[in-house]
Amino acid sequence: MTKGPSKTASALKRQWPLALLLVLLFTALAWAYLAPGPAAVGLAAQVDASLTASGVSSRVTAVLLNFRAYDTLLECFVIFLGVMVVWSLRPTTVTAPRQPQAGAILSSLERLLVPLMVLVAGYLLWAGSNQAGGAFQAGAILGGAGVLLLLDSSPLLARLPKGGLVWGICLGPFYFLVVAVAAMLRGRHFLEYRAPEATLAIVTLEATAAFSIGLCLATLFAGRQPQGKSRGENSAHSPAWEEDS
Amino acid sequence: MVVNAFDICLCLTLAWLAWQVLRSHDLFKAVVLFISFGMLMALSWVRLQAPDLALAEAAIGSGLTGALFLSALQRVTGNKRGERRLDRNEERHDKRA
Repeated sequence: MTKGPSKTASALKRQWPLALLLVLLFTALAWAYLAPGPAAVGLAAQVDASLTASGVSSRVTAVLLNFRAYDTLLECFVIFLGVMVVWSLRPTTVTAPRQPQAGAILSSLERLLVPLMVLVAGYLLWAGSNQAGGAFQAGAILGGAGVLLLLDSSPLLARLPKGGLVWGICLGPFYFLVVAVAAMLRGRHFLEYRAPEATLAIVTLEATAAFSIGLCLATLFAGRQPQGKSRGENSAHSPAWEEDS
Repeated sequence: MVVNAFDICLCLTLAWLAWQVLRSHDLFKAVVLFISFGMLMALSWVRLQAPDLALAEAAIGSGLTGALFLSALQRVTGNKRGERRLDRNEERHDKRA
């Protein structure tokens, strides 16, 4: 942080092409926005016309989990693959210093917030069928709760079943896949479900996806695969998420 | 479309924050600025009447990505506050095995 003015000036000199690019980009965007052109035609009319067949009353959820469910399926697998990639990386040689024992503030905040966050996630999931909300938002809140638990390596984590983590992460994407293929077995297209049974399909899809997304995001924060039964080691007495010391 | 002073302020602040994130030498500061950028981005999604995106941006784009950045920063730098990104022509002093 002890930079002289000359160093700052040279840094500024290096950054001017970037600044120029940003200005050009901004000009192009402003021109695209302000330029007269044909009025934008959205797909809102089509979505509204087939909303009754989708099984939910929220347009966004109908698009995400029915009309364009294929995209959402791929998104679930992207997050799943992210976890797989993180787990397949070797642990870094640089070991982070052991975290200091979490203070009373963090642990009481955690006791206060985690149940609330689980409640909010459940509400968002439930609200998703007719207003803003849905699987990704609920999953993100669950992931946040998991991050909070990981921050002071809560004893609660050690009590969770260790083999369950892998199953929990797989549940969302593969249940999605099973639903998609089940539609084919009934003589329809991949991922095609219609009004009577669509509601149940979407609600279960959202619930499992949210659960798995939350687990995946918290696992990404933890960084590497926890030691446990999945590697054939029996470390029942140490917390599953212990940092390498 | 009605453009009011609040929206203009929001746009300018977003651009300014983005610029500050890019030119910050202190990585910790950059992450904090990125988190504030995400929060303001969520606010602009609300202004654009897209509450779903706003929720996702606030929870994932700002909250979880920020937490991931901070944990990555801790792993990389050993959580020494005030450490900054090395310049291209600067020697790395800590050779790690």
